[in-house]
Amino acid sequence: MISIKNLLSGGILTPDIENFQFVDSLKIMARGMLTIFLVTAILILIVFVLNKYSRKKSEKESGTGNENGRE
Amino acid sequence: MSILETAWQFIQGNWMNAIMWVIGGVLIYLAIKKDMEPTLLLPIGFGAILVNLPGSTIADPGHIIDLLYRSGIENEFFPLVLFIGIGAMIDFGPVLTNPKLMLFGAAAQFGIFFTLSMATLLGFAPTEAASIAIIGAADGPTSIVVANELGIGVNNPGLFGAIVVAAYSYMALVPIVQRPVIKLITTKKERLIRMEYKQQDVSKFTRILFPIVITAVVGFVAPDGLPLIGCLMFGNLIRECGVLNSLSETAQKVLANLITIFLGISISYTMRAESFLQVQTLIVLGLGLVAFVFDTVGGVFFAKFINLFAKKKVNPMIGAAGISAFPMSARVVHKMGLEEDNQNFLLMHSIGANVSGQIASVVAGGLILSLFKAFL
Repeated sequence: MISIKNLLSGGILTPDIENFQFVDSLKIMARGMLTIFLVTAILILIVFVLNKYSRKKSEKESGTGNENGRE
Repeated sequence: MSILETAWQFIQGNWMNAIMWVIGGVLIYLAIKKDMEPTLLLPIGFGAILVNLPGSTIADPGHIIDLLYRSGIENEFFPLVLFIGIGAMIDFGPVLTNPKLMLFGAAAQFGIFFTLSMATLLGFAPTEAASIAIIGAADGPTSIVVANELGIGVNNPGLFGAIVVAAYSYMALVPIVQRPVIKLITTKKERLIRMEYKQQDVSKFTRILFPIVITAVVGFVAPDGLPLIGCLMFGNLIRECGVLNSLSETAQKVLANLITIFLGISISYTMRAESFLQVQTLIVLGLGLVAFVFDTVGGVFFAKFINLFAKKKVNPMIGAAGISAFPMSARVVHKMGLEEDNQNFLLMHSIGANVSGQIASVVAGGLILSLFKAFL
Protein backbone atom coordinates (compact mmCIF):
# COMPACT_ATOMS: atom_id res chain seq x y z
CA MET A 1 0.00 0.00 0.00
CA ILE A 2 1.36 3.39 -0.98
CA SER A 3 0.78 5.79 1.88
CA ILE A 4 1.27 9.51 1.65
CA LYS A 5 4.32 9.07 3.84
CA ASN A 6 5.90 6.78 1.25
CA LEU A 7 4.70 8.91 -1.62
CA LEU A 8 6.33 12.12 -0.51
CA SER A 9 9.00 10.97 1.91
CA GLY A 10 12.67 11.56 1.46
CA GLY A 11 12.33 15.09 0.17
CA ILE A 12 12.86 18.48 1.72
CA LEU A 13 9.27 18.38 2.90
CA THR A 14 9.89 15.66 5.50
CA PRO A 15 9.23 17.02 9.01
CA ASP A 16 11.53 16.23 11.91
CA ILE A 17 9.44 14.00 14.15
CA GLU A 18 11.94 13.97 17.01
CA ASN A 19 12.20 17.74 17.22
CA PHE A 20 9.02 19.16 15.67
CA GLN A 21 9.19 22.91 15.22
CA PHE A 22 7.41 25.71 13.37
CA VAL A 23 9.39 25.08 10.19
CA ASP A 24 8.23 21.42 10.24
CA SER A 25 4.62 22.57 10.36
CA LEU A 26 5.32 24.66 7.24
CA LYS A 27 6.69 21.54 5.54
CA ILE A 28 3.49 19.69 6.46
CA MET A 29 1.48 22.62 5.10
CA ALA A 30 3.30 22.37 1.77
CA ARG A 31 2.98 18.58 1.65
CA GLY A 32 -0.67 18.64 2.65
CA MET A 33 -1.74 21.26 0.12
CA LEU A 34 0.29 19.62 -2.66
CA THR A 35 -1.27 16.25 -1.94
CA ILE A 36 -4.82 17.63 -1.75
CA PHE A 37 -4.35 19.36 -5.12
CA LEU A 38 -2.83 16.18 -6.55
CA VAL A 39 -5.80 14.08 -5.41
CA THR A 40 -8.17 16.75 -6.74
CA ALA A 41 -6.44 16.79 -10.12
CA ILE A 42 -6.76 12.99 -10.35
CA LEU A 43 -10.45 13.17 -9.44
CA ILE A 44 -11.12 15.95 -11.99
CA LEU A 45 -9.47 13.87 -14.67
CA ILE A 46 -11.50 10.78 -13.76
CA VAL A 47 -14.79 12.72 -13.73
CA PHE A 48 -13.89 14.33 -17.05
CA VAL A 49 -13.28 10.89 -18.61
CA LEU A 50 -16.44 9.43 -17.05
CA ASN A 51 -18.54 12.33 -18.36
CA LYS A 52 -17.04 12.05 -21.83
CA TYR A 53 -17.61 8.30 -21.93
CA SER A 54 -21.23 8.68 -20.75
CA ARG A 55 -21.92 11.42 -23.30
CA LYS A 56 -20.49 9.34 -26.16
CA LYS A 57 -22.45 6.32 -25.00
CA SER A 58 -25.73 8.23 -24.83
CA GLU A 59 -25.07 9.85 -28.23
CA LYS A 60 -24.41 6.43 -29.69
CA GLU A 61 -27.58 5.03 -28.13
CA SER A 62 -29.75 7.91 -29.30
CA GLY A 63 -28.17 7.70 -32.78
CA THR A 64 -29.02 4.01 -33.01
CA GLY A 65 -32.54 4.77 -31.83
CA ASN A 66 -33.09 7.26 -34.69
CA GLU A 67 -31.80 4.86 -37.26
CA ASN A 68 -34.15 2.18 -35.99
CA GLY A 69 -36.95 4.71 -36.15
CA ARG A 70 -36.20 5.56 -39.77
CA GLU A 71 -36.08 1.93 -40.71
CA MET B 1 -29.07 33.26 56.70
CA SER B 2 -30.92 34.96 53.87
CA ILE B 3 -31.67 33.26 50.58
CA LEU B 4 -29.23 35.63 48.85
CA GLU B 5 -26.40 34.67 51.19
CA THR B 6 -27.14 30.99 50.68
CA ALA B 7 -27.18 31.51 46.92
CA TRP B 8 -23.88 33.43 47.08
CA GLN B 9 -22.23 30.67 49.14
CA PHE B 10 -23.53 28.11 46.68
CA ILE B 11 -22.13 30.03 43.69
CA GLN B 12 -18.78 30.51 45.47
CA GLY B 13 -18.57 26.77 45.94
CA ASN B 14 -19.64 25.98 42.41
CA TRP B 15 -18.49 28.96 40.34
CA MET B 16 -16.82 26.81 37.71
CA ASN B 17 -19.98 24.78 37.31
CA ALA B 18 -21.97 28.03 37.12
CA ILE B 19 -19.83 29.19 34.19
CA MET B 20 -20.59 25.90 32.43
CA TRP B 21 -24.32 26.44 32.99
CA VAL B 22 -23.96 29.85 31.36
CA ILE B 23 -22.04 28.31 28.44
CA GLY B 24 -24.73 25.63 28.13
CA GLY B 25 -27.41 28.33 28.25
CA VAL B 26 -25.68 30.35 25.53
CA LEU B 27 -25.47 27.27 23.28
CA ILE B 28 -29.16 26.52 23.84
CA TYR B 29 -29.98 30.19 23.15
CA LEU B 30 -27.98 30.16 19.88
CA ALA B 31 -29.69 26.92 18.85
CA ILE B 32 -33.26 28.02 19.57
CA LYS B 33 -33.26 31.79 19.09
CA LYS B 34 -30.64 32.12 16.36
CA ASP B 35 -31.30 28.75 14.69
CA MET B 36 -27.55 28.00 14.63
CA GLU B 37 -26.92 24.26 14.14
CA PRO B 38 -29.78 23.51 16.61
CA THR B 39 -29.51 19.76 16.10
CA LEU B 40 -26.10 19.79 17.76
CA LEU B 41 -25.80 22.96 19.80
CA LEU B 42 -28.99 22.21 21.74
CA PRO B 43 -27.97 18.71 22.94
CA ILE B 44 -24.41 19.92 23.61
CA GLY B 45 -25.73 22.91 25.59
CA PHE B 46 -28.15 20.81 27.60
CA GLY B 47 -25.45 18.22 28.22
CA ALA B 48 -23.07 20.94 29.47
CA ILE B 49 -25.63 21.87 32.13
CA LEU B 50 -26.43 18.24 32.92
CA VAL B 51 -22.88 17.11 33.67
CA ASN B 52 -22.09 20.21 35.73
CA LEU B 53 -24.98 20.14 38.17
CA PRO B 54 -23.70 19.80 41.75
CA GLY B 55 -23.48 16.14 42.66
CA SER B 56 -24.17 15.05 39.08
CA THR B 57 -23.01 11.50 38.50
CA ILE B 58 -24.44 11.19 35.01
CA ALA B 59 -20.98 11.18 33.39
CA ASP B 60 -19.37 8.92 35.98
CA PRO B 61 -18.16 5.46 34.91
CA GLY B 62 -21.07 3.19 34.10
CA HIS B 63 -23.64 6.00 33.86
CA ILE B 64 -25.51 7.04 30.74
CA ILE B 65 -23.25 9.85 29.40
CA ASP B 66 -20.15 7.79 30.12
CA LEU B 67 -21.70 4.79 28.35
CA LEU B 68 -22.69 6.87 25.33
CA TYR B 69 -19.27 8.49 25.14
CA ARG B 70 -17.42 5.18 25.38
CA SER B 71 -19.66 3.35 22.94
CA GLY B 72 -20.10 6.15 20.41
CA ILE B 73 -17.37 8.78 20.54
CA GLU B 74 -14.31 7.05 21.93
CA ASN B 75 -14.52 4.33 19.28
CA GLU B 76 -15.69 6.86 16.61
CA PHE B 77 -18.90 4.93 15.94
CA PHE B 78 -21.24 7.96 16.04
CA PRO B 79 -19.28 10.32 13.73
CA LEU B 80 -18.59 7.59 11.19
CA VAL B 81 -22.18 6.36 11.07
CA LEU B 82 -23.31 9.98 10.82
CA PHE B 83 -21.09 10.24 7.76
CA ILE B 84 -23.18 7.52 6.07
CA GLY B 85 -26.23 9.74 6.58
CA ILE B 86 -24.39 12.84 5.34
CA GLY B 87 -23.18 10.94 2.26
CA ALA B 88 -26.76 9.92 1.52
CA MET B 89 -27.82 13.58 1.73
CA ILE B 90 -25.23 14.97 -0.68
CA ASP B 91 -25.98 15.41 -4.36
CA PHE B 92 -22.64 15.57 -6.18
CA GLY B 93 -24.44 16.60 -9.38
CA PRO B 94 -23.17 20.22 -9.51
CA VAL B 95 -19.55 19.12 -9.11
CA LEU B 96 -19.91 16.29 -11.61
CA THR B 97 -21.29 18.80 -14.12
CA ASN B 98 -18.35 21.13 -13.54
CA PRO B 99 -15.51 19.09 -11.97
CA LYS B 100 -13.13 22.08 -12.00
CA LEU B 101 -15.04 23.35 -8.95
CA MET B 102 -13.22 20.68 -6.96
CA LEU B 103 -10.14 22.90 -7.05
CA PHE B 104 -11.87 25.40 -4.77
CA GLY B 105 -12.66 22.65 -2.29
CA ALA B 106 -8.95 21.83 -2.23
CA ALA B 107 -7.82 25.45 -1.87
CA ALA B 108 -10.21 26.13 1.00
CA GLN B 109 -8.43 23.57 3.20
CA PHE B 110 -5.57 26.06 3.56
CA GLY B 111 -6.91 27.16 6.96
CA ILE B 112 -6.23 23.70 8.39
CA PHE B 113 -2.52 23.83 7.62
CA PHE B 114 -2.18 27.52 8.49
CA THR B 115 -3.74 26.85 11.89
CA LEU B 116 -1.42 23.88 12.37
CA SER B 117 1.52 26.26 12.04
CA MET B 118 -0.07 28.80 14.40
CA ALA B 119 -0.83 26.14 17.03
CA THR B 120 2.75 24.85 16.76
CA LEU B 121 4.00 28.40 17.21
CA LEU B 122 1.86 28.71 20.36
CA GLY B 123 3.59 25.67 21.84
CA PHE B 124 1.01 22.92 21.39
CA ALA B 125 2.38 19.40 20.96
CA PRO B 126 2.26 18.16 17.32
CA THR B 127 -0.77 15.87 17.78
CA GLU B 128 -2.60 18.60 19.73
CA ALA B 129 -1.80 21.18 17.05
CA ALA B 130 -3.03 18.81 14.34
CA SER B 131 -6.26 18.12 16.21
CA ILE B 132 -6.89 21.84 16.72
CA ALA B 133 -6.08 22.56 13.07
CA ILE B 134 -8.66 20.08 11.83
CA ILE B 135 -11.38 22.45 13.12
CA GLY B 136 -10.66 24.12 9.77
CA ALA B 137 -12.16 21.07 8.05
CA ALA B 138 -15.46 22.71 9.02
CA ASP B 139 -16.77 19.26 9.65
CA GLY B 140 -17.71 18.04 13.14
CA PRO B 141 -17.38 14.29 12.53
CA THR B 142 -13.94 14.72 10.89
CA SER B 143 -12.75 16.78 13.88
CA ILE B 144 -13.96 14.11 16.32
CA VAL B 145 -12.36 11.23 14.40
CA VAL B 146 -9.00 12.95 13.86
CA ALA B 147 -8.72 14.22 17.45
CA ASN B 148 -9.69 10.81 18.79
CA GLU B 149 -7.30 8.89 16.55
CA LEU B 150 -4.50 11.20 17.68
CA GLY B 151 -5.27 10.29 21.29
CA ILE B 152 -6.64 13.67 22.40
CA GLY B 153 -9.96 12.23 23.63
CA VAL B 154 -8.13 10.02 26.15
CA ASN B 155 -5.11 12.16 27.01
CA ASN B 156 -6.72 15.60 27.14
CA PRO B 157 -10.54 15.46 27.34
CA GLY B 158 -10.73 19.22 27.97
CA LEU B 159 -8.92 19.98 24.73
CA PHE B 160 -11.07 17.40 22.93
CA GLY B 161 -14.26 19.07 24.19
CA ALA B 162 -13.00 22.51 23.16
CA ILE B 163 -12.16 21.23 19.66
CA VAL B 164 -15.59 19.66 19.16
CA VAL B 165 -17.47 22.66 20.53
CA ALA B 166 -15.38 25.03 18.37
CA ALA B 167 -15.90 22.88 15.25
CA TYR B 168 -19.68 22.84 15.61
CA SER B 169 -20.03 26.43 16.81
CA TYR B 170 -18.04 27.90 13.92
CA MET B 171 -19.98 25.76 11.46
CA ALA B 172 -23.07 27.45 12.81
CA LEU B 173 -21.36 30.85 12.65
CA VAL B 174 -20.27 30.52 9.00
CA PRO B 175 -22.48 33.42 7.82
CA ILE B 176 -21.05 35.70 10.51
CA VAL B 177 -17.43 34.64 9.98
CA GLN B 178 -17.24 34.37 6.19
CA ARG B 179 -19.21 37.44 5.10
CA PRO B 180 -16.84 40.15 6.44
CA VAL B 181 -13.75 38.19 5.35
CA ILE B 182 -15.04 37.84 1.78
CA LYS B 183 -15.93 41.54 1.66
CA LEU B 184 -12.52 42.49 2.98
CA ILE B 185 -10.51 40.56 0.39
CA THR B 186 -12.64 41.05 -2.73
CA THR B 187 -13.46 44.18 -4.69
CA LYS B 188 -16.98 45.13 -5.72
CA LYS B 189 -15.97 44.52 -9.35
CA GLU B 190 -14.91 40.98 -8.48
CA ARG B 191 -18.12 40.29 -6.57
CA LEU B 192 -20.10 41.40 -9.62
CA ILE B 193 -18.53 38.79 -11.92
CA ARG B 194 -21.28 36.68 -13.41
CA MET B 195 -20.77 32.99 -14.02
CA GLU B 196 -22.65 31.10 -16.66
CA TYR B 197 -24.23 27.81 -15.61
CA LYS B 198 -24.98 25.17 -18.21
CA GLN B 199 -27.53 22.63 -17.06
CA GLN B 200 -26.16 19.21 -17.97
CA ASP B 201 -27.47 15.80 -17.12
CA VAL B 202 -25.02 13.57 -15.30
CA SER B 203 -25.38 9.93 -16.24
CA LYS B 204 -26.32 7.36 -13.63
CA PHE B 205 -23.15 5.50 -14.55
CA THR B 206 -21.00 8.50 -13.51
CA ARG B 207 -23.00 9.08 -10.33
CA ILE B 208 -22.56 5.45 -9.27
CA LEU B 209 -18.90 5.20 -10.17
CA PHE B 210 -17.95 8.53 -8.54
CA PRO B 211 -18.20 7.44 -4.86
CA ILE B 212 -16.39 4.18 -5.61
CA VAL B 213 -13.56 5.92 -7.48
CA ILE B 214 -13.12 8.58 -4.75
CA THR B 215 -12.93 5.92 -2.06
CA ALA B 216 -10.29 4.03 -4.04
CA VAL B 217 -8.19 7.13 -4.81
CA VAL B 218 -8.29 8.50 -1.25
CA GLY B 219 -7.67 5.05 0.19
CA PHE B 220 -4.61 4.75 -2.01
CA VAL B 221 -3.16 8.15 -1.09
CA ALA B 222 -4.21 8.48 2.56
CA PRO B 223 -5.31 5.07 3.90
CA ASP B 224 -5.89 6.52 7.38
CA GLY B 225 -8.73 8.56 5.93
CA LEU B 226 -10.55 5.47 4.65
CA PRO B 227 -13.06 5.17 7.51
CA LEU B 228 -14.16 8.77 6.89
CA ILE B 229 -14.30 8.72 3.10
CA GLY B 230 -15.57 5.14 3.04
CA CYS B 231 -18.60 5.92 5.22
CA LEU B 232 -19.33 9.17 3.37
CA MET B 233 -19.16 7.51 -0.03
CA PHE B 234 -21.04 4.40 1.11
CA GLY B 235 -23.93 6.70 2.02
CA ASN B 236 -23.67 8.41 -1.35
CA LEU B 237 -23.62 5.09 -3.20
CA ILE B 238 -26.81 4.03 -1.38
CA ARG B 239 -28.36 7.30 -2.61
CA GLU B 240 -27.21 7.06 -6.20
CA CYS B 241 -27.55 3.35 -6.94
CA GLY B 242 -31.28 3.75 -7.47
CA VAL B 243 -32.25 0.38 -6.01
CA LEU B 244 -31.99 1.23 -2.30
CA ASN B 245 -34.34 4.17 -2.03
CA SER B 246 -35.78 3.20 1.32
CA LEU B 247 -32.29 2.65 2.78
CA SER B 248 -31.22 5.99 1.38
CA GLU B 249 -34.19 7.72 3.00
CA THR B 250 -33.52 5.97 6.30
CA ALA B 251 -29.84 6.99 6.21
CA GLN B 252 -30.72 10.61 5.39
CA LYS B 253 -33.42 11.00 8.02
CA VAL B 254 -33.81 8.36 10.74
CA LEU B 255 -30.19 7.26 11.01
CA ALA B 256 -28.72 10.77 10.81
CA ASN B 257 -31.23 12.15 13.33
CA LEU B 258 -30.77 9.30 15.78
CA ILE B 259 -26.99 9.55 15.74
CA THR B 260 -27.14 13.35 16.00
CA ILE B 261 -29.19 13.12 19.21
CA PHE B 262 -26.69 10.76 20.84
CA LEU B 263 -23.63 12.53 19.42
CA GLY B 264 -24.63 15.91 20.83
CA ILE B 265 -25.39 14.71 24.34
CA SER B 266 -22.31 12.43 24.44
CA ILE B 267 -19.98 15.35 23.73
CA SER B 268 -21.01 16.84 27.07
CA TYR B 269 -18.80 14.14 28.65
CA THR B 270 -15.84 16.33 27.69
CA MET B 271 -17.45 19.49 29.05
CA ARG B 272 -17.04 18.99 32.77
CA ALA B 273 -15.94 22.26 34.32
CA GLU B 274 -12.63 21.04 35.73
CA SER B 275 -11.34 19.87 32.34
CA PHE B 276 -13.13 22.36 30.04
CA LEU B 277 -12.52 25.65 31.87
CA GLN B 278 -8.88 26.19 31.01
CA VAL B 279 -6.98 28.87 29.15
CA GLN B 280 -6.38 26.36 26.35
CA THR B 281 -10.14 26.33 25.62
CA LEU B 282 -10.04 30.05 24.80
CA ILE B 283 -6.92 29.55 22.67
CA VAL B 284 -8.62 26.68 20.81
CA LEU B 285 -11.69 28.85 20.16
CA GLY B 286 -9.37 31.58 18.81
CA LEU B 287 -7.46 29.14 16.62
CA GLY B 288 -10.74 27.68 15.33
CA LEU B 289 -11.70 31.14 14.16
CA VAL B 290 -8.29 31.52 12.50
CA ALA B 291 -8.87 28.21 10.70
CA PHE B 292 -12.24 29.28 9.29
CA VAL B 293 -10.93 32.71 8.27
CA PHE B 294 -7.91 31.27 6.44
CA ASP B 295 -10.01 28.57 4.78
CA THR B 296 -12.02 31.42 3.30
CA VAL B 297 -8.91 33.40 2.41
CA GLY B 298 -7.33 30.34 0.75
CA GLY B 299 -10.40 29.68 -1.39
CA VAL B 300 -10.90 33.29 -2.46
CA PHE B 301 -7.23 33.90 -3.31
CA PHE B 302 -7.08 30.68 -5.30
CA ALA B 303 -10.04 31.88 -7.38
CA LYS B 304 -8.23 35.20 -7.92
CA PHE B 305 -5.15 33.26 -9.00
CA ILE B 306 -7.23 31.26 -11.51
CA ASN B 307 -8.57 34.56 -12.89
CA LEU B 308 -5.03 35.60 -13.84
CA PHE B 309 -5.10 32.93 -16.56
CA ALA B 310 -8.75 32.06 -17.21
CA LYS B 311 -10.62 33.46 -20.19
CA LYS B 312 -13.94 33.09 -18.42
CA LYS B 313 -13.48 34.83 -15.08
CA VAL B 314 -14.53 33.15 -11.87
CA ASN B 315 -16.33 35.10 -9.17
CA PRO B 316 -13.74 34.84 -6.33
CA MET B 317 -16.49 34.46 -3.76
CA ILE B 318 -16.99 30.92 -5.12
CA GLY B 319 -13.63 30.03 -3.59
CA ALA B 320 -14.99 30.80 -0.13
CA ALA B 321 -17.71 28.18 -0.65
CA GLY B 322 -14.97 25.54 -0.85
CA ILE B 323 -15.14 24.93 2.89
CA SER B 324 -17.02 21.89 4.03
CA ALA B 325 -19.79 23.67 5.98
CA PHE B 326 -22.64 22.51 3.77
CA PRO B 327 -24.89 24.19 2.72
CA MET B 328 -24.31 27.32 4.85
CA SER B 329 -21.24 28.45 2.95
CA ALA B 330 -22.86 28.05 -0.47
CA ARG B 331 -25.86 30.05 0.75
CA VAL B 332 -23.66 32.88 2.04
CA VAL B 333 -21.90 33.20 -1.34
CA HIS B 334 -25.16 33.00 -3.28
CA LYS B 335 -26.77 35.69 -1.11
CA MET B 336 -23.73 37.96 -1.36
CA GLY B 337 -23.81 37.62 -5.15
CA LEU B 338 -27.48 38.61 -5.22
CA GLU B 339 -26.85 41.57 -2.93
CA GLU B 340 -24.33 42.98 -5.43
CA ASP B 341 -26.39 42.17 -8.53
CA ASN B 342 -29.88 40.73 -8.25
CA GLN B 343 -29.40 38.83 -11.52
CA ASN B 344 -26.16 37.13 -10.47
CA PHE B 345 -27.09 33.56 -9.57
CA LEU B 346 -24.06 31.80 -8.07
CA LEU B 347 -25.94 29.05 -6.25
CA MET B 348 -25.05 26.07 -8.45
CA HIS B 349 -21.38 27.04 -8.63
CA SER B 350 -21.17 27.64 -4.89
CA ILE B 351 -22.99 24.36 -4.13
CA GLY B 352 -20.49 22.58 -6.39
CA ALA B 353 -17.54 24.13 -4.55
CA ASN B 354 -19.22 23.40 -1.22
CA VAL B 355 -19.72 19.65 -1.82
CA SER B 356 -16.15 19.51 -3.14
CA GLY B 357 -15.15 20.95 0.23
CA GLN B 358 -16.79 17.94 1.88
CA ILE B 359 -14.54 15.61 -0.07
CA ALA B 360 -11.42 17.75 0.33
CA SER B 361 -11.91 18.13 4.09
CA VAL B 362 -12.09 14.36 4.49
CA VAL B 363 -8.95 13.99 2.36
CA ALA B 364 -7.27 16.61 4.57
CA GLY B 365 -8.38 14.70 7.68
CA GLY B 366 -6.90 11.50 6.26
CA LEU B 367 -3.65 13.28 5.42
CA ILE B 368 -3.35 14.78 8.88
CA LEU B 369 -3.88 11.33 10.37
CA SER B 370 -1.34 9.74 8.05
CA LEU B 371 1.23 12.40 8.84
CA PHE B 372 0.70 12.67 12.58
CA LYS B 373 0.22 9.06 13.61
CA ALA B 374 4.01 8.87 13.47
CA PHE B 375 4.05 11.21 16.51
CA LEU B 376 2.05 8.82 18.70
